Amino acid sequence: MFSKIVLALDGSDPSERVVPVARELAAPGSAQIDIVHVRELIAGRGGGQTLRANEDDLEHRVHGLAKELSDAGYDVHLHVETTVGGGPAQVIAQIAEKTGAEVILIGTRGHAPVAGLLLGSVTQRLLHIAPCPVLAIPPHYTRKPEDAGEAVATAS
Amino acid sequence: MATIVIAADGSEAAHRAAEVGFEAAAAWGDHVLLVTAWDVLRADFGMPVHRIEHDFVNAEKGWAEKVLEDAAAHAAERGLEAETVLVRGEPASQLCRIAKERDARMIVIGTHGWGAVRSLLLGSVTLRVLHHAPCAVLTGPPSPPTPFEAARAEHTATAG
Repeated sequence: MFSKIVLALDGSDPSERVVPVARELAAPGSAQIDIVHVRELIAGRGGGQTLRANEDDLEHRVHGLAKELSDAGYDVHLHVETTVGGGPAQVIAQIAEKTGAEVILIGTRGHAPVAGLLLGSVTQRLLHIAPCPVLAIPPHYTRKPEDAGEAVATAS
Repeated sequence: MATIVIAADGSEAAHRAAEVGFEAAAAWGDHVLLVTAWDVLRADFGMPVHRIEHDFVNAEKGWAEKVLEDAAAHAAERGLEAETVLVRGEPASQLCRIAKERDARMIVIGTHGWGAVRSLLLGSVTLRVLHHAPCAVLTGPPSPPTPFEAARAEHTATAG
């Protein structure tokens, strides 16, 4: 249904829930999916240490998801951007603006170190600055793409 | 066929979010459920205003009914026959409750409602919905219309 989607993935479990939704949302045919993964660096460290200790694992995961979508026939572009001292939301919004995205998909939460945190800070910030609609997916989301697949098949 | 819950409060932001929601519903063949929540205005000291002036309740409910009617008309303009639900209570909890009961695919809501003060990160109802939603939440395009929206509207007009 959307032919240009931005998918924000931080490599966390909750963020992976958005991948099936991307398939639900993407127009059949060759929808363009821009995956954005932001590497956060800690400011002030000469060597540019990443915020997350397992950053390499996270990126590996994101690459895997990008390949999955690419194999499924979507026109996938993977953007791995670096930001120092925060600003993933800014990066995601800018890429959405640049690519002319029709919707940004993001988990309501990502790496949530605080128990009981219901809405992640990046998502919250993104909703304020996004140049287009944002679809926020909760961590427990389990809908299957088949729900939409049927309707789309009969519609076309 | 799934259900999409669309929040209607008569604001420009809600209208723009609904546009996106209608497009999604049309593409997927989903059922649209328009929801307007209203409640009695309370005076600062907690006293329900209707005890001062009973007409206030009728005015509030009447206004909410009109908002819902307009939203349904908007849906019809987009070729959709929407179901309407008028509920009394706090909007965010009502939206989440209904979305859960109806096993909605998603809730569609504007980023801000009437208090479209851009310095606010998000409208208070939208923020609460994001915290408690049982499903995906689609927040509408930012206001005022972006160049993208203008181009898209133009594209839709020429393509349709």
